[in-house]
Amino acid sequence: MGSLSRRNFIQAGGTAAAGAVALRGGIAEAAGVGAADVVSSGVDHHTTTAHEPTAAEPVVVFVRDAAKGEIAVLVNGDELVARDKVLVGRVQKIIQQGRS
Amino acid sequence: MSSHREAPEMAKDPVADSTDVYAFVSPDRPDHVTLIANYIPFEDPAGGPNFYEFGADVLYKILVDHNGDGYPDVTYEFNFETILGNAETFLYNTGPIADIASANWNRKQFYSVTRVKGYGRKARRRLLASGLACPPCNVGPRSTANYPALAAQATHSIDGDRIKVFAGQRLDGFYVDLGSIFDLGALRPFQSAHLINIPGTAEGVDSLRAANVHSIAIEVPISDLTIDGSTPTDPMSPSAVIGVWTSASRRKGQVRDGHESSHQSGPFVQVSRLGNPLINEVIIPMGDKDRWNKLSPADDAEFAHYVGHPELAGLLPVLYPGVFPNLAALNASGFERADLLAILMTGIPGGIIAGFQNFTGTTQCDELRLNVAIPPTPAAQRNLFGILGGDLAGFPNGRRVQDDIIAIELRAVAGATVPLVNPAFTPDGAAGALRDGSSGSDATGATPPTTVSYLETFPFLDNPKSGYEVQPLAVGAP
Repeated sequence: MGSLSRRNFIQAGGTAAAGAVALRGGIAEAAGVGAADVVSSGVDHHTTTAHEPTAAEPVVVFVRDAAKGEIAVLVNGDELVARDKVLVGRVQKIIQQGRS
Repeated sequence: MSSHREAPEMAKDPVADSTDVYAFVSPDRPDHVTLIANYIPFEDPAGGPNFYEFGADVLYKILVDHNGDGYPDVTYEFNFETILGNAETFLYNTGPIADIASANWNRKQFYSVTRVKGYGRKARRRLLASGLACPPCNVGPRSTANYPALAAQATHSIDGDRIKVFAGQRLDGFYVDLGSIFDLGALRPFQSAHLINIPGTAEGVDSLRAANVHSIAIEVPISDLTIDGSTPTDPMSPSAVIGVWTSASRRKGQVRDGHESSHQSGPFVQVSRLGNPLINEVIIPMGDKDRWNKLSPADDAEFAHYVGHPELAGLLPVLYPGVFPNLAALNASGFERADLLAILMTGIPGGIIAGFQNFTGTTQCDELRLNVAIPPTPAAQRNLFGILGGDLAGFPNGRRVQDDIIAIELRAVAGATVPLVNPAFTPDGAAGALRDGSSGSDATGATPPTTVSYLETFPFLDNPKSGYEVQPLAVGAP
């Protein structure tokens, strides 16, 4: 979680239940654990780059449904949807701390 | 306008804003179809030093449905790349651009063309070509002295010379009197009959007479697009009809970092689309326009009530009191405009117009439907009013670059096409005479426009005007 800071916090939704973060470290590292359950992946067939999605480039993660702990990871041309209530809870905590 | 700045959000994103779509059997290669998608509305030719260009972060598509389900069966995708030659100058070009490889041209664009057959997970993709050069914008006589030659160098034959493709700046072929129409629906030739009367009559003013656009044009064999891979000769054959539209998509995620350039990632999501002209412009109400842009034609049934009961049909009798009594009575009866639903949402079934149909089935979807078995009409016999003018090769059988879309759709909405589905209805006399008068053409559609020029060969839209040669729109452009 070391690379996730308030400075990286780019955008927050209108409620504490939604937010978006930009990460420069590994996704698993950001989550603190490798516990996310990937529930769907949208491989982008339009992307001209053929390499596998990695977090070597900036990654956009947004909370799709806080109640379900559902996040979407936008990496290269793909969207990976996962359930990770721990990460969503930490994002919410960041939002609360940022507003306090 | 056809679809220039037609939706509130899209009006703020011109490089992804589709302005017009054309689909017609190529007059110079009648076993081919030409498909054109225009983007970037209202290009002022003098708009330097950062002249207009395609969005390198936009995915452009021209899509073809050959089974009438509202989903694409053949799609051509266009991805652009921008190359900056010299970052140390503010100039678009540092000397004359004698050819499209000139080192004097500082900001070049290249693109790839990918053909996709099918849709979704079963889609099969094939890269047809990459590294294709766009022409520069037409800057002026010092920079782009021989513009036709530059454009010719940017017309590429690909896929073993089966396909021609061009992507770059063109003269906007659409013509319309925006200044009058959006002033409470006034048509200058009939302005004395308007509710807010201005005495006398006047010919229209083509608001786009000095505007350029960016065009993506592709000419492909008909057999590449039909459901059975044939080149149909029987217009009544269901396999003779294709539906065409364009779309533009952007990445789902974008982060603007204050310290670095913006970052985009995620799959492409559609932000703009266009099939029939004026649908999103005039038929779809303000609150639904941007949503409409994001959907597929397969979702269009939810908008059918706007087509069946168009707001403009209700406005005409109000704006022109006493001129449209029959239309007013039709509106009051609650009549659903089955004529417009057929023309715009399903195609015209056989048995209504002798020797013609462009019916794609009962699925209601906004697609520009082209019967490829109807041969092109020779230029001298062309009628700008298309099918309304007795010319089956024109709109709404596809759309040619010259067709007078404003007059055709005004007349249709005013009731001129109601007898196709309700023979007992008599259109008002004015319905068959409506036009905005912007083209310099006459009321019969038999004479070509005078405010805009075209080509008779690919890419059919004429070379763009340069900034040097035109005057600003406000003081009267040539």
